[in-house]
Order: sequence, then structure tokens, then C-alpha cells
Amino acid sequence: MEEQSDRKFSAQLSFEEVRLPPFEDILILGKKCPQGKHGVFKSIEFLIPNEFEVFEINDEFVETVFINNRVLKKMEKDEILKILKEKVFPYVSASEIIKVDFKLRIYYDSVGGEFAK
Amino acid sequence: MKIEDFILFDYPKIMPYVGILSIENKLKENEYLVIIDENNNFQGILTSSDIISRPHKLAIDCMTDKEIILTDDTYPLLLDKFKKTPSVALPVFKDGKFLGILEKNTIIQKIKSKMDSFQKEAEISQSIKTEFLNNFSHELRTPLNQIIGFMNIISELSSDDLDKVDDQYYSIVKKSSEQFLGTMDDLIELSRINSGEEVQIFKDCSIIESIFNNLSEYFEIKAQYTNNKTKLHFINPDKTRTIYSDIKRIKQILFHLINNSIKHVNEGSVIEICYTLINEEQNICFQVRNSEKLILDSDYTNIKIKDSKISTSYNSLQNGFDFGLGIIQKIADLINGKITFETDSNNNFTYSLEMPYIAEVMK
Repeated sequence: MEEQSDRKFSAQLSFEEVRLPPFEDILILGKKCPQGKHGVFKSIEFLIPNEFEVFEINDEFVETVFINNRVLKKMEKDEILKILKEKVFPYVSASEIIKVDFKLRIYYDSVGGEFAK
Repeated sequence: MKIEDFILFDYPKIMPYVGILSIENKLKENEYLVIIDENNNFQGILTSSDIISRPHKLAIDCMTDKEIILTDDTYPLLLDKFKKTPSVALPVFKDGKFLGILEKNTIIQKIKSKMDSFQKEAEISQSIKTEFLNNFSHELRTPLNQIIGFMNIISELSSDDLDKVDDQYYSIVKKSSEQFLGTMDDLIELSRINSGEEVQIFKDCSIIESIFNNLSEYFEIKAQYTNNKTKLHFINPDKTRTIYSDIKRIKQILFHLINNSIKHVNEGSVIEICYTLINEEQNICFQVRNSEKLILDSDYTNIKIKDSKISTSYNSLQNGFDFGLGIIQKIADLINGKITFETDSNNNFTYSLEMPYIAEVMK
């Protein structure tokens, strides 16, 4: 009598919604990361044209920063880059690509004026 | 050497967005790749060291900034740019337009070859200068020493002996003075010709036999204090033939050709000086050549040591004061002459001076 063995498999399956590109606000490219600025820029432009600006950085480990125009509308690029240099760059390795969530909230101390008559 | 002469138009190229993995082998073979886009625009040069410093996936992402060569860059600037950029090739631009690629090895080889050539020229020039100065020194001292020597002899003679002084002594002193003056004239003239100054010519009529006799006398006097036993044979088929030209220049040229010839033959050789009319007597060709033919005593001027009580302290004038052919040609140019030199495998040579011939001018 022939022995028959059933083959079974199991896989862990999960899924979630993703959006392309897989970042929204800021992307930092290390100098030795697999993708360079031209490749990333071309990809982003194909996916969401005219939504990001590219800034070349003079840093030991960071090559390029992509900043969403929505963020640039709210804050000057020099200010953003200054914050990134102080708070994020020290943690970036040359071979990494870092996604930065930059949610900006703007407060006014007081807003005054006159009612229209 | 212009930079444009070394531009390479056929260079290894790739598109900007090709993957690095696909061009790795090509890069290893060529040491560099030129990135040209689909519109034929130059994007940059990719080298192996670029991939190490920027290990991205696309060729254009790996490129680093490099120096650009302009067509009017000097060679020191060119070498400086190659030194700053670790690349074996750089792009060449003119008026903002990409022309091609300049490879470092090509330019270095050319510069090296040019430097070798300059060095050889400088060495030859220095050697010629040294020999010229040495020879010139001999040519000045020889007649001066003759004059001084004979005047000393004459001054030591008693009043009785003075009457018996051979005319030959006075003749030697006179000819030595003329020789000295001639050497100084030659030097001044050489300076003028070399500086491009206009040199005048003075035409006169003379019988060719007279020119030959002057030369013969000069070399006879000169040989009195040298060990040179070279024989001069002047061949003149028509002793009444005249020539109308700058006689001084003709003598000057023949003198230097004979002098050069004496330098290049062995002792005891014979040098012939002759002329031929050519082109239906429109031109005359003077020739100075070495000859192995036997010559009878009465036919030649035998330059050999004569007994003399005057001793000299300088060396043989084997390498006598002579102008190179280039300078002799410059003198010949003054009388529309052309100097040629021929030699054969048996070391026989002929110097020729070909010039327009006018027998005489009716006044």
C-alpha cells in the first residue's frame, strides 16, 4: 500500500494600505544609501509630480533632503534645514534613507482687530 | 601643441539612468565612462572611485563633480586640474559646448616627449655655443699671436739685421692683421644677420682666379701654425673668367665651406675647389669637395707645417672657426645663393654654392 503524505503550508499574512511615495513630509538620503537623488527624484516625480523640492546638503553623512512643498509653504527651507541639522542629522548613517514626519502647527498668541460695521 | 589636437571623440559612453550593476564590467575595462543623455548632452564622467564614494544604484547618482578643461587652458593649468581630480579623463569644453574627452595619459606622454625634445635641443645648443666660443677664441688668438710673435722677432733684431729681414715676415704680419680684421668682421656680420638687421651688399667685378688666389693665400698662412696637412686644389679652367657680384660674400662663403671641409677630412686628404656654369650660363655653381685623386705638386696649394722659429702654445686648429651651414646659407641668401651638401657612403662630400651668374656689367 503506497503511503500518501499531504503537503501543507502556513504563512503569516497581513496587509495594510500604503501610499506611494511611502513618505509624506521629508525624506533624507545618506551619502552611501542605495538610491541616489536622481533616482529618488525621478521616482517621486513620476508618482506625484511637482510636489517635492530637492536640496543638496553639505554634511558628512547626508547627501540630499526632499521636502514636501506643503511643508515649505508653512516654514522657510533654511529654518527647516536648520532644525533637521540639529535634531535629525546626528542620527543619520551614510547608508540610510530616513523618513521624517514633520507635522507643523502654528499658534498665534492673540489675534485682534475691529469688527466690520 | 594645442589641446584640440588631443581631444578624443570616440569614448566609452553610457546613459544616465542605467543601473550600476549592468555597467560594472564596462567600467572596469575602460577606467571611466562618459554619461551622455538621450539628447546627446554631456552629464558627467563616472569612474570607479565615484562608485566607492557614492554607492548608489543609478550611474548618474554615483557621479561626482570633476574639473572641466577649456581649450585655452595652459599646460600647467591642465596638469593642475588632473591632479585635483582623481580621474584619468576630463571633459573638454569650448564656449560652453562639450567637445570631447581628454585622457590624462595622452597629455602626459605628449608633454614628456616635448620636454625630451627641448632638453636635447638645449644640450645641442649649449654644445654648439661652447664649441663656437672655443673656436672663436682660437681664431682671434691665432693672428694676434702671429703679429705679436713676428713683431717681437723684428724688435729684437739689431739695426744691421733689420735690413736683412725677409719680406715674408712683413707679409705674414700684414696678412695676419687682415685675417684678424676679417674674423672680427665675420663676427659682427653674423650678429647682424642673426638679429635680422638688413645687411648691405656691394657688387663689383672680379676675376674668379683672384678670388681663388686670396683664399689660397689665406689658408697657406693659417696652416703655418697648425698641424693640418690637408691639400687644397683650386681648379679654374678659364683664368680670365669674371664674375659680377658681392665678391666679399663669395669669398666669405667659400672660406667657410673650405674651413668646414678641412675639419671633416683626414690629414693628407685633398680638397678641390672648382666651379661650373649651368642653366646656359645663367647660374654658376661653386663646389668644395674632397677628392682621393693624386695631384701634382705644381697644381695645388700644399698646406703643411713650414719651419718656423715661432712656437705656439695652442692646439691644432683641426676644429677651426667655422659657421654652420645654416648661417652660411643666410650669407648666401644675401646674393640669392643656395648652399647644398651631398655625401655618399664612402664619406665623399660636396658643398655647393649655386647663385646667379653675371660675367660683368657694362658701365
